[in-house]
Formats: sequence, structure tokens, C-alpha cells
Amino acid sequence: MLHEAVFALGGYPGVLSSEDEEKKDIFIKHLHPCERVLLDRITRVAADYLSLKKFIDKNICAVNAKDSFDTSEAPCGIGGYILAFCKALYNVLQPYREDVVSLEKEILNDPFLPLSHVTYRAEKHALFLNVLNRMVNQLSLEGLHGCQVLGFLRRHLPSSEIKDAVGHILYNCHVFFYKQLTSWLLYGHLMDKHKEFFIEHRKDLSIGNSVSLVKSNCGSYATEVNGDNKVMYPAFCDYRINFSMLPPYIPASVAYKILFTGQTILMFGNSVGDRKFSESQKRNISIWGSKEEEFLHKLQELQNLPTFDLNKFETTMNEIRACVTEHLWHVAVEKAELFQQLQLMKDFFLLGRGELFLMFIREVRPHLTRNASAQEVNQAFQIAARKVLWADESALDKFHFVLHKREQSLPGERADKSEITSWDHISLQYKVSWPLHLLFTDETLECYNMLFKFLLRVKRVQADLHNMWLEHNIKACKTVGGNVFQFSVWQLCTGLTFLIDNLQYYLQADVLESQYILMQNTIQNSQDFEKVQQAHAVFQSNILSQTFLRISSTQNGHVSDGTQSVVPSNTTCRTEVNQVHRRLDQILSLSENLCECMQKWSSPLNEEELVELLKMDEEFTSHVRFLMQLLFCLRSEPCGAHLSQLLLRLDFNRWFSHSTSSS
Amino acid sequence: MPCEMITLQLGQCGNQIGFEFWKRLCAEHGISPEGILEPFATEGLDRKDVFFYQADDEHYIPRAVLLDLEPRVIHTIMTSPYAKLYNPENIYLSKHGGGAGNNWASGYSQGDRLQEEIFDIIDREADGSDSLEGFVLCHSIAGGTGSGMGSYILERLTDRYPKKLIETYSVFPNQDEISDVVVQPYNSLLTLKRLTLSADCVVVLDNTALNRIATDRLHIQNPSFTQINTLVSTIMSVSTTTLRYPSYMNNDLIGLIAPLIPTPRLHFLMTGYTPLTSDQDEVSVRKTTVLDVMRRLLQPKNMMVSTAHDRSAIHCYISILNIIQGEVDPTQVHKSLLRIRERKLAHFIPWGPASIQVALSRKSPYIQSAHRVSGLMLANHTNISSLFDRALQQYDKLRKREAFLEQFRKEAMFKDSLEELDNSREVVQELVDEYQAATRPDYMSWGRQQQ
Repeated sequence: MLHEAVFALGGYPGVLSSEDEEKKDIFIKHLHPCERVLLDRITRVAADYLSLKKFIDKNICAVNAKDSFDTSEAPCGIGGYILAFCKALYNVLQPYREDVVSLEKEILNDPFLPLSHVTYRAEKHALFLNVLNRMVNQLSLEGLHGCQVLGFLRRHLPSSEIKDAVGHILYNCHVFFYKQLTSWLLYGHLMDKHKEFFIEHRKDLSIGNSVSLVKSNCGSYATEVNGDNKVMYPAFCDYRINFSMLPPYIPASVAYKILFTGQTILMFGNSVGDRKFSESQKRNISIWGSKEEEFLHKLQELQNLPTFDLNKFETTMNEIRACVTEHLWHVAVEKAELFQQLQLMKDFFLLGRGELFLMFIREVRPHLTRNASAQEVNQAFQIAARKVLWADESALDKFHFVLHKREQSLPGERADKSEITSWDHISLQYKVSWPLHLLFTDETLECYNMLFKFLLRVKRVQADLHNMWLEHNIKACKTVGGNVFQFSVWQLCTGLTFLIDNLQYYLQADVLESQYILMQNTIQNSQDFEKVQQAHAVFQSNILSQTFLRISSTQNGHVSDGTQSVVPSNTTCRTEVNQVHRRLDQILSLSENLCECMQKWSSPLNEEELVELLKMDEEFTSHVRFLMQLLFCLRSEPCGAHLSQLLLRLDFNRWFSHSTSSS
Repeated sequence: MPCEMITLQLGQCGNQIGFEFWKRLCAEHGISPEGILEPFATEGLDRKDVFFYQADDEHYIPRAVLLDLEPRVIHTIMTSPYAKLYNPENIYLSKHGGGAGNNWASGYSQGDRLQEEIFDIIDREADGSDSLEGFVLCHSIAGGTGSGMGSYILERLTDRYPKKLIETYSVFPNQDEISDVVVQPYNSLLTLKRLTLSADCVVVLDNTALNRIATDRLHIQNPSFTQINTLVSTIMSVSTTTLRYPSYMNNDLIGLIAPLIPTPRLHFLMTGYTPLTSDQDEVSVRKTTVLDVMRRLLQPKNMMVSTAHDRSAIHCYISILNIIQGEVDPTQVHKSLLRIRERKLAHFIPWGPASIQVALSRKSPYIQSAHRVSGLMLANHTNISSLFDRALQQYDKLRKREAFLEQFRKEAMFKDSLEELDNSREVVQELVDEYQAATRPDYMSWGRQQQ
């Protein structure tokens, strides 16, 4: 009987641990009820151990089997973490096993050892085994695997009566975790065939799905590369954080840093396709330089800590990330000429070089009156550049135009509108140089294009108004008719010119130039590529909202705030700002309309034309009144600081506010 | 290029200020006196083609036409190191070389006689430009050639190039000293009529103010022409700087002056400049801010026009453009504008929208200046009419006495009648009236009645 008990405690099949109730009953039948109770207690301990043993055996076997067969499908509950868990569990059970062995020895030496002694010896472990068993059962029940195990263990750590054992298991699982982490952090290699790590490859997700997932999950870190760039620069965005795998005690911000670091390493390693950087295969080594060993050592130290220390972990992750971003900063600033590229973005997309685009407007206009091709538009741009003696050929090569033809123009649309509408189809393309695709993503370029179209329109309308000023205002009174200068024309013309001129001053000086300087200072003062990304995101976000182009996100998905957007985007404010844009749009349309009419109209105007003109004048007054009211109402709002800037420019001598309030 | 400009320099004064202007442009663009690009001038972000064109041998040649009826100033230019800069075909000296005798009528009629030869040059130069935006005329309104022939050319230019802008830099005589030109009031008045009717934009350079600035601010005892003209060339070069150093705005002349001139006749601009200090006391201890510059530009002592106090009207700005050069923080512009409005430093018209426009411009990298920041103001101010009023008064004094009219009667134009003088007086009086009207809120209805 004692042997049976020890046998059962050792976890071996025997009568006591048998499933066969009948056999067990026969065995127990002969015993004294007191013994039966004691034996029951021993059996309970034995059952716990057996179940643990089974769990260990099953998983170790399964992992071994899986290694040899290498099935592509990974069933739940298999993998490095479970293995580490089992191995550690096995170790933790060692004292118990030893106790059983010594018990056996005692029994052999002393045949009269009472059952109560065995019970006593076994029950020393009862609680320990029971808690472990419950934990393992729960683990199996929840089907946890991979990094989830870490979280699970951590959760059990403080509450558990068997703190040391769980700590040991957790430590062992962390060893595996650090192995994966090190390979990802330092070499960009995802050593994870069982899908256990909290970073995962995206390829297995369907594209459409993944895009939205990445967007919502990864914020500004997951820079998406689509279209052309995808072909040019793969790898970077193919990874994402799998939040179900992320141990809850690692904050998401740290996880993003880890994701970013590995991706960057990967990007440097995988950019072989880019001929210019063919030597970059060696680069993943050169990123670290002598620091590789240092970081390896640091990770080792972390791994050797008996308990996971988030502070130290985070510090080390930050150090590693800082090293990568610094390297990236250097590559971006030195090799990819970040500052020159930013300047180019401003010169081209934001019309920083007004003379070039003034010329472009003149050159491309005749093409746009008929159905122009993209080639013609590009030729016009080249001609314009030549005419302003543009010296920097390499800059020009980076930009070209494409035309987005709308399907067929609506039948009701007037034919002579075609010029104005075809302006909207022009969009500017920019060849992004590696690794600035991290900065100038497709989304970003899309936003720049939105700005470009708006600014080009303002510039074009301004140029048209100036020409009208010359022909109908200044020169008209010098022609032979003598004083045919018409005050009614003048009033509208001056009003519009003033508004558009000052709008442009506001856009270019108050918004673009000012924000650009802020961004430039931030970038210059940092050595961190992520700071650059942030600064650029803030820059873009600010200029979009302050030029009134930010449209509420439901309508326009590609305005990305980034996870740490500094700009508070008040939704009520957004829709109101759109109204400012709408008013400006109406005023621009009115200007276009007036310029077009003035070209057709006789000089001096006849009755009919004068009526038309007066109508436009009224329209102008009402637009201005609405705009002023809007600006007045909104400037005190928290997001309305820029509105008061525009208001100051437009209403410097308080003419508009007086004339609109008195009427 | 869209804003190519042809500079016409007329008469003694016109050629002198033109000479200084080109000297300055050459220095700013790194062009040697022979027209060759200096080896250090490699930056290439400036637009030399606004005022220069390149000859077949890569020489930079000014789009300048030099006209005079007497040889003295042009000879000085042709014996200077800059002799080879100009296209010799663009230099026209009348054959007799006798000048216009400080007589507007003589200059005007000689302009008529010589127009074919003169417009041969101007037309050739205009045809040679890719897309000409306009003409810049440098002259004085008091003498004979600049005023008389200048007036004639202004009228012809308007006829021949009805779509081109005509901007003049017109030097007004010094009121503080007794002029050796006795008929100066007649000359001025007759020229003013043409400036009113034919020019699109007149930058007024008032010798009275310029001399005062030279003596009071720059501490020059007896300022020479060259010293005064250096001031003038500064004004001229800075006022074109946004064209030559392109940035986001004011890329062509029309874009520069259209916002300044809302109604066609009110096209006389004042200028102001800061810092105005002599080289000796150049200690820039403190940081110059945009607000400093803008505030100083609004001070009368920095204005290049001496305006008299006028009790009959509250004079006001019609428009202001400040061109600020140097390292400034663009975010300051808004704050400065706000401060100026709060403190009511500038008084604006009551009949339409008006504001201070601020253009931040780059500086030539080749000219070292102790001043980190400098500013030029181009302003359309109604008080400029006091200058014309003064011209009217002086004319009336002379005319009442019928003084010196025989000089004019010698010319065909005035042989039979002095109607031209009366007519000019009328035009200038209307101009003064319009400026007076522009100080009142009912200017617009006034304008309608005038039609």
C-alpha cells in the first residue's frame, strides 16, 4: 500500500492513480476507513502532480514533434514560451520529486512506516502542486500561448502562494522572450515561427484589412507605403504590433519603439534593391558599430534580472532606439539631404518660389484651355523653369505633374469653365529619396498636393486680378477715350485684390513661413529621426488647419494626426473652419468669374454688363460680411488664434468690420 | 522672363542716379564693372535677368537706355570703370550737345525731334526682351532734359506700349536752397502733369528730404550728388529686391505696385528707409526686431519725402508695403502688425480696406552690412499732395509776375499760347483735390461725381 502511494506520488500509473474505479474500489475496500481518508488525501496530491507531469510531457513531445515535422499550422498552446514554461515547471517540481524519492527510501528502510507519515510528507506539497495545477489548467483552458504566457504568469505572480516557483517560470519564459527580442532589435530578424512574439509580419493579413488595422493600431509609427513606394521600399511597414500578444506590463509606447527599431534595422538591411545604397547590406552592422556588443550585453543583463524591471527595460529600449534614430537622422540629414528636400517641398508644393509658379501659370494656361496632356503640362513647367533661369536641374527632376482627368464633364457644365476646372486636375508628384519615404509618405504628399492646388489657385487668381487692375483700372484711363475709369469696376476690383493679396500674405507669411521656421528649428535641435517625423507631422497638421484645408476626418481619411499629435483637433472647430474655406472658395470663384467677364466685356461697360457687375458687387459684399462674421465669432475659440491673424490682415483699418456692421 | 524691365535714364540727374543704381545692382549680383560674373558669385539664387541680359559672350548687360542732351554726365560714366558695362548702342547723346538749357519746353521739343532715333533704341531693346513687363524711368522734374524730354517720352511710351507698366523714379527739387534754375516751377508743373496722366507709378524722391537726411541723420556737412544718389540707389535697389531675390510673393512689378495703388491717379509713392546712420556711429548693440523696423519706417524723419503739415485735412495712408531684408523671424510679423494697430501708429483711409503689407526678402550675399535688418517702406499717403501744392504755389508766384516766360515762348509749343501751362496747372490742381478727397470717407461718391 505504501508502495502504491509512493508510486502514485511519483506520477506513475498504478492502482491509486488509475482511472479504473473498480480496481481502485477493490483496493480500497480492504482498508480501514481512517487509512482510506489518508490515502484519499495522498491521491489528491498525486493527481495534481500527475496532471502537471502530463502537461509537461504533452507539450515537450508536441514541440519536439512539431520541430521534426514542421507543420505550417501552429496549434494553440505550442511554442517556445510553453516549452520554457514546461521546462521551468519541471525544474520547480524537482524538490517534490526528490522528496518522493527520499520517502521511497524511507519506506524501504522502515517497512513499518505509517501511512500518516507518507500523507504528511505528501501534503507538504499539496498546496504548491494544487496552485500550480490550477494555474496550468487555466492556462490550457484559456489557450494562451506565446507572449500571452508572460502576461498570464505576471498576473499570477503577486497573488500566488508559490511566488518563487512562478517567478522562476516567468524568468525562464523571459529568457525566450529576450532571445526573440534581441534578434528583432539588433538584426531585424523575427525569430518566431509559432507566432508568439508581439510583433508580427503583416503579409498574412489581407491588404485592405491590414491597412486600416495598421492605421488604427500604429498611428504615426506605422508609416504606410503604397503604390510606387511600396515597390521601391518594401519591408518597412510589413510589420505591426499584435496587441493580443503584447504582455500587459509592457506599455504600448515601448512596444512601438521596439517595432520601430526592428523595422529600421530591417529597412537598412533590405534596401539592397536601391542601387544607390547597395553597400547597405553591411549597414545594419554599421548602425550599431561598436555598440552592438554593448547592447547585446545590456539585453543579457536584463535577461539575467530575476524579475522583469520595466524601468530598466524601458531605459535600454530607449537607448537602443536612440541609437537607431540618431543613425537614421544622420542618414536622412547627410545622405538624403533632409533640409534641402524640405526646402524643395516648400519651394514647390507650397509655392515658396513664387516666380517659378507665376511663370508656370502663364505657360500652362493656353494648354489648359484645351484638353491638355500631362506631358504638355510638364513641358510648360520645364519652359517656365528655363525662363526664370532655374539653375538646380536635380531639383526639377524630382518633380513632375500628373493630370487626374475627371470622367466626362457634366453635360450641363459650361464649356468655358473647362479651363478653371482643369486646374484642379493638376497634381504635383515628388520622387522621394530613401529613407525620406518615412517622412514623405503617400498620405503626406497627398496633403501637400491639396495645399499646392489651393495655393496655386490663390496665386492664379491674384495674378488675374493684378492684370485686370492694370488693364481696366490703370491703363483704361489713359487710352484715347480719356477718363473712362469706372468707379464701380474699381471698387470691386480693389476689394477683391485687397482680399486676395492679404489672404496670400497670411497664407505664406503667417502660416507657411512661420510654421516652417518652427519645424526647422525643432529638426535642427534634435538628433533624433522620430523627432523629425513628429515635427514634420505637426508642421503639416498645422498648415493644413491654418490654411483651412483640414476637412473633418470622416470626409477625408488621410489627415493623420499621429499618435502624439500636438494639435488639438476640436471637432466643432473643424466644421466651422471648413466654413471659412467655403467662403474663401466663393470669393475665389467670384474673382475668377469677374476676370473672365472683364475680358469679354466692352470698355466702358454697357448697361447689361453694369447690371451684371453690380450683382457681383453685391455678392462680394455678402461673402465678405459672412467671412467677417465667421472670423469674429471664431477667433476667440481655442483653435482660432490663426483666424485672428487673418482677420488682422484683412481688417487692419477696420474697414470691413465697419462697413459690414453698418450695412 | 515675366518681369523684365527696361530702365531709361534721362538727363543729368537721371543718368547720375541710374549710374549709382547700376553700380549697386552689379555689386548685389556679383557682376564686375565689366559685366562679368565674379568668381565668388556662385550662389545663383538671384534673378539677374530682371535688369540684365546676357550677351553672346556671357557678359551681363543692363537693360538700360542712357539719354542726354549734353555730354557731361554720360562722359563721366564712359570714363568710369563701368564704361564697358553698358551696351554702347543704348547710349544716346544729342549731336549738338547743347543740352536743354534747364528748359522743359526745349527738352520736350527736342524729344519730339529726336523721337525716331530714341525709339529706335527703346524698340530694339523691347523687342530683345522675352516678355517685357515695363519701363523704369529715372529723371528729375526740375531741369530741362529729364523733365522735358522725359515728359515727351512718357507720353510716347504710353501710346506705343499701352499694356506695359511705366514706373518712374522722379527726383523733386530741393526746397531748402535757392535753385539756379529759375524756371524750375514751370518745369516741375509741366512734368507733374505727365506723371499724373501717363505714368502708372511714380516713386517720389524728394531732394529736400534727401538733403535733410544727409545732413541731419548722416551728418554730412555739404552732401554731394554722389552721396545723395547713394541714398537714391538704395531705395531703387531695395524696392526691386523682391523681384531679384524671388520668394513667395511680389514676384513681378505689377504684384508689387497693384496693391499700393487702388485708384489710377493716386499713384505717387513715398519711400522710407531704415537704418539711416552714417558709417561712423555704427554700433548695433541691440537686436533689431521686425517691430523696430516697422515702427521706424512710420516715423517722418525716415521718409524720403518732406511733407508739409496740412491743416485742411487729416492725411492718411492709402496703402503701405514694407520690404524687410535680413534675418527676421516671420512669426514676428503678425505681432508687429498687431502692436502698430493697437498703438495707432498709422492712420488709414476711411473709404476702403487698407493694411500694411510686409514682404520679407533675402539680401544679397555679396554685400556686407553691419545692419542685420533693414527695411524699406513704399507708401501711398495722401499728404504727398502737399508737395504738389507747393509746386502749384511756386508756379503761381512766378506766373503772376509772368516771369521768365520768354524762354518758353521761344519753343513752338508755347509760341501762340500758354494754354499748356494753364492746362497743367489744372491737372495738378485736380490731383491735389483728389488726394484731399481721399482723406474723406465720401471719396467714393466724390469719384463717381467726377466722372
